[in-house]
Amino acid sequence: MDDSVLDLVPPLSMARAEKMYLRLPGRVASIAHHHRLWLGPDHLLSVRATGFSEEYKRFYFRDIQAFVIRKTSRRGILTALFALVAMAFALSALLISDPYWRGFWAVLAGFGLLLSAVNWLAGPTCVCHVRTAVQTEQLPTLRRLRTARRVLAPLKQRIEEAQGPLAPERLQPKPPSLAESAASKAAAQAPNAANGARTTTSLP
Amino acid sequence: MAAVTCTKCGFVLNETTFNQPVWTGCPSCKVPLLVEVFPALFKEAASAQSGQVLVTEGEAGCFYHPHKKAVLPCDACGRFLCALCDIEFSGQHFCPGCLETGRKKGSPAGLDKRRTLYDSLARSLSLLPLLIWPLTLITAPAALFIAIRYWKAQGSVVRRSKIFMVLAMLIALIQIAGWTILFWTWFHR
Repeated sequence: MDDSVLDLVPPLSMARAEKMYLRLPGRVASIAHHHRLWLGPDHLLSVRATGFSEEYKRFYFRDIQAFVIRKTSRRGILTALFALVAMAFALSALLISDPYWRGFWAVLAGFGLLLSAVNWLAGPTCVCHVRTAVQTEQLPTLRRLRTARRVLAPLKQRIEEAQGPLAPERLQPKPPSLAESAASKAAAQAPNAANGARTTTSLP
Repeated sequence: MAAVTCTKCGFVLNETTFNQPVWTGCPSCKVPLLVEVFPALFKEAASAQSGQVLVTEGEAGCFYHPHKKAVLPCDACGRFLCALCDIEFSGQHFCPGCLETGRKKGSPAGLDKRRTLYDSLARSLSLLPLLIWPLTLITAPAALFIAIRYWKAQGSVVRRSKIFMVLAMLIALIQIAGWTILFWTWFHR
């Protein structure tokens, strides 16, 4: 096909693109890459930047089925870890008589305590997944519940604008059908009843 | 209805856990969950439409399937398309050919999954070698070449500024000027 026809397809102009995406709170960065979430006009954009390239995942508002936020224990673990390190440094400071080294260890202990306090004050940690009809993807930037709530509030509004409100009767538990009740009875009799309801299947 | 599962144990969650204001434990692994669902979860998957067969001679046929009735033209090439060939994207209608060619060229925007950031590459090539400055003899022209060669290349989807390119070119030009002065001084000593 002649490439000239593509000129008719409106490209994304600079000004339009700048206005098009709104940066959402939350960021995950490491030496190799960093993640960011952006709010587009009709989709949520997850950007994974690795050095000199960017990878994009788009979740269109009309396709988003659910967000699942799972609470994790990372907050407690990290706080305890930083506190332990701070205590070790503080102990070193107490045991050393040299005032120079005592000061050095005390500063490190203070730094560890500060990290521990900041981590605790940042709030509960979580893992957030977005679900569409074809995939369930983790949103790495949403690692704190506070950030997740701040991001999901405008998202929820946009999704409801795209999909309409959810009918309350959808959230009512359905009465189990005959087949389902028979299956649940059989599952309850089986010793590994809980595993039977899982969607993941294990290979023989 | 599609099933929402616990992201830790994979247990299928029921309606009692949906859209609750407080944490709800997974019935299987008891991990606290907040599940926000939307109407798309309850929507049946749409089946693909097949094109209607032409019934009268005067009707326009699809470019790709001449025996199928055309429903609209492609917004890029103008070819008539049947319901099967019509691909709606960002409010526009394209034929599969235009969409595939457009995807390779990064137009229309919204199809590309990955982009190379030549502006970041040029910037790094002009700035990082300053730590080991003799390297700039090679990297400065390289940075200048990348900045000029890829000036029109599409950059980041979210950060659409040429400032890094301009910065890289300026720094590279300064480095090249520095080397020129240095060599000039050596040869004319």
